[in-house]
Amino acid sequence: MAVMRYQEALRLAMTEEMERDANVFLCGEEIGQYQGTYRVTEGLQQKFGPMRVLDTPISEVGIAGLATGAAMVGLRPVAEFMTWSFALSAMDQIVNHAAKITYMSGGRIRCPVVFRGPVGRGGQLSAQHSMSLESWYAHTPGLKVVAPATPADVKGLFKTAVRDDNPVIFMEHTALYPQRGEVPEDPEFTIPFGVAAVRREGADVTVVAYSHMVGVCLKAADLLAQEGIECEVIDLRTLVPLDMETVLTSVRKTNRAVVTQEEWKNVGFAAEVAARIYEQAFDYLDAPVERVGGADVPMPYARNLERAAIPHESDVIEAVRRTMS
Amino acid sequence: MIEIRMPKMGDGMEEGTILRWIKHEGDEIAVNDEIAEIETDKANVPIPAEDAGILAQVLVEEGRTVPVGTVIAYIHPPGTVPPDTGMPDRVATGEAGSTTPDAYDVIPEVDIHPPVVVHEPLKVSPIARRMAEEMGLDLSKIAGTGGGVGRITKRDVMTYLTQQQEGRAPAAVSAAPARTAEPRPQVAPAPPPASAPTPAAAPALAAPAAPTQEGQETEISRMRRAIARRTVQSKQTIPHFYLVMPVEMDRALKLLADLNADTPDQKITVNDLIVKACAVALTKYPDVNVSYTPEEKIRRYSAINIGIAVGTDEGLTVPVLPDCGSKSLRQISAEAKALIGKARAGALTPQEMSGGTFSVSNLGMFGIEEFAAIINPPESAILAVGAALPEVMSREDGGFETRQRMRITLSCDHRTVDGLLGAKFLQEVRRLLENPFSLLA
Repeated sequence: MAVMRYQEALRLAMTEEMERDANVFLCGEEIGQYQGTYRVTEGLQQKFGPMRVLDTPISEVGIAGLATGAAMVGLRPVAEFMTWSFALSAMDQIVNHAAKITYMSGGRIRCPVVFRGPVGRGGQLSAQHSMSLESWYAHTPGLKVVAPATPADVKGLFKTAVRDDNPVIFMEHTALYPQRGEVPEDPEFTIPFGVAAVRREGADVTVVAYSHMVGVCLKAADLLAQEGIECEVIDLRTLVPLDMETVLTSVRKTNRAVVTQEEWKNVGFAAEVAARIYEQAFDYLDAPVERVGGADVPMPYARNLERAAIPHESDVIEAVRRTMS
Repeated sequence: MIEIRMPKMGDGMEEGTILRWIKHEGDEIAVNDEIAEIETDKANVPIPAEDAGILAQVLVEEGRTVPVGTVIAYIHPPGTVPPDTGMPDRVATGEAGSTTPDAYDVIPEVDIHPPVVVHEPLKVSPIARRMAEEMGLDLSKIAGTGGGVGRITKRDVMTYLTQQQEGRAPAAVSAAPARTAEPRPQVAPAPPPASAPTPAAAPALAAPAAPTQEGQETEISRMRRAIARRTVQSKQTIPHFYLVMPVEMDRALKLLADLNADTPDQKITVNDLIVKACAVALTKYPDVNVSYTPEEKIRRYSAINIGIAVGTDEGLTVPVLPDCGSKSLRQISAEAKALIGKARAGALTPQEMSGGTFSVSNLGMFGIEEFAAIINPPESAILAVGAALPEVMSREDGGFETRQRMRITLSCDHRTVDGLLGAKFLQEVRRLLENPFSLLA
C-alpha cells in the first residue's frame, strides 16, 4: 500500500495499463505538452511519447470519434474530456456510435473505449462547466458508468475499465483529485464492476452514494451517530452495472433508505435507485425513500449560490431524520 | 390544504381522543369556531379553528385516540375549494354578455375536474403492514406516529406489542378462572367432576368449587388511565421516601375560627392555611421547588405553583394554584375555592391542571390520621395531610392537656431532595402552622 492522491492513483493506473498493453493510448485536449488541466496525465507524454499521449484539437466530437473509431479497429483508447460538461458536443459519437456498434454489428465489432474526465462543481466554474450528467449515460444501453470515490477505487476501477471490451464512461470528481488514501501497488489490482462497497455499517438507515457524495454521507453519518442514528453508507462505485443486491440487503436490515447524488435531483440517478428499492424491497420499507440531490438550476457562479445548489452533509442529515421521524 | 393537528393542551398530554366532531366535512369554518371536542387526560375541551375555510376532510373518527401532533383533519383555505357545480360563474357571464371579443379570454382559471372526495387510507408503512399481517394484529388499534402524518411504522408496531405484553398480565389472570371452568363441563359426563382437574385436593374433601373470580371488565375512563399511567410512572421512576411530622394545630384552628367568624362567606380552610404555609416554606427552601429533568439536571422553578389534589367520583384531579409565593392567604383561599369547584364540576381547563411545582393532598376531613402520597411528576415532593385529632399530651409541669395534633407526611424524590432538606422544610411548615399569625402577612 502507498498513500497517494486520487489523481496520482489514476495516473498510476494509466501508466500501468499503458505499460501492460501497447494498444492503450491517451487522447485529449492539453493532456500531453501541458500535462493535463488537473495534472492527471503529468509526465505521461515524456514517458510514452506523443503517439500514445496524443494532444488533440479543441473538438470533443473529434476526440470521441477518433477514440471510438480506434477502439473499433482494435486499439484501447482512453479519451479525456477536460470536464464531462464539455462532452455534450460528443454525445452523438458516444450514444449513437460507441454505445451501439457492438449491438448493431451483431457482436462482430467491439468498442473498448474509455471516456474519462472530471464531473461536478469546480469551484465557481459556473453553469457550463460544473455538470454531473451521469444519469444521461446510465440511461443509455451499451455504456458502463463508473464513479469512483476513493484513490484505491479510482485505480482499481480504471484498470477494469481499460480491460473491458465495452465503452466505459469514467467519471472522476474535481473535488476528489487532491484527496489522499491508501492505494494497492500491485499492478494487477483491479476492482470488478457491479460490486458496491459498504463504507460504514449501521442498523438504522441505508444511505446510498457514489463519487464525491460518499465522503459527504460518511461525514453526515458521523454527525448522526452522535445523536444515536447509525447509517449504513453504501458506495455504489459503478452505476452501470448496478449492484442492487448490496443496497437491498442493507434496506432489508434498516427498513429505511436515503439515496444521494450531486447531479440535479429531477430525473436523477437517485430516482432509479429509489424506484428499484420500491420495486424490490417494498415490503421491508418503514418510511418513504428519501432523495438528496442538487438544486434544479444551472450552476450559479456566485460562491454562496453555488454552495446552496449542491448537497451537503446537512441535507443528508435532514433526509435521514425525515426517514426516522 | 391546512392541517389541523391534535393540540397539546397541557404538560402531561401525550394523546387525545376525539369525543365528537362539532363541524363536519363541507362545513364552513371561521377562526375560533369550535371544530371538535377532544378528551385529554383530565378534561374535555373544544379545539378552536386557527384558520378559516371549509372542513375538507376528517381523518380521525370519533372515539379514536391519537398522539399529540397527529393530523386529524384538513381545511380548505377560503377561495381554493373547487365549486360543487362544475363550471364557474365567469364562463356563464362570458357567454351571456358576449362582451369578450376573444374566446380564449374566458378560459376558466379554476380546476375543471369535479371535486373528488378522497378518504384517506390508514397510513401504514409496508413493513409495519407486513408485521401486522404476520402477527395477526388489528392495524386500526395501533397508534401511528411516523412521518409527521401519523403513519404506523415498525416502531409503532413494536410499541403496541410491548404495551400488549405489559397489559397481558392482568388479562391472563382474569382469563384463568374461565379456562379452568371450561374443561369441567366437558369432563363431567365421563369421570365424576370432582376427580377431574386436581386429583390431590378435590376428591378427598368433595369440596365446594374453588372460589370463582368472576367479574366484569369495563373500559376505563381516560382520567383513570391517566391516573394509572402517572402513578406507575411516578412510583417506578421516582425514588420516594417519606417524612412524618406532627403539628399542633390548636392555634391555627383558633385563628381560622376567628377569621371565619368575621367573614363566614369567605371561609378559609385548614387546607388553605397549609397551602400558604407550604408556599412560605418553599420560598425559604427553594431546593424543594424543583424537578429532576430527563436530561439528568435539576430545574429550580422561580414560581411556586401548588397543586391541590381534589377527589371526585370520576377520579383524582390536581388543579394548580399558580404563583402562591406572591399571594396572600385570602387570595389563595379564594382561588382554591374556585378551582376546587371547577374540579368537582369537571370543568377544569388543561392549563388549570398544568405547571405544578409542588402538591398538597389532604384526607384529614375523612378522619385519615396519616398517609403517604405519590409524587405528582415532574414535581419533587408532595405533602399528605392527615386529620387534626385530639391527643393527650404531657405538660412540662407534669400535668396533662389535650392538643389538636395533625400529622403531615412529605413524600420526597430522593434524586433532588435529601432527608435533611425534607426535614428542614417540614420543620418550617410546622413552625408556620404552629405560629399561624405570620401566615396572615
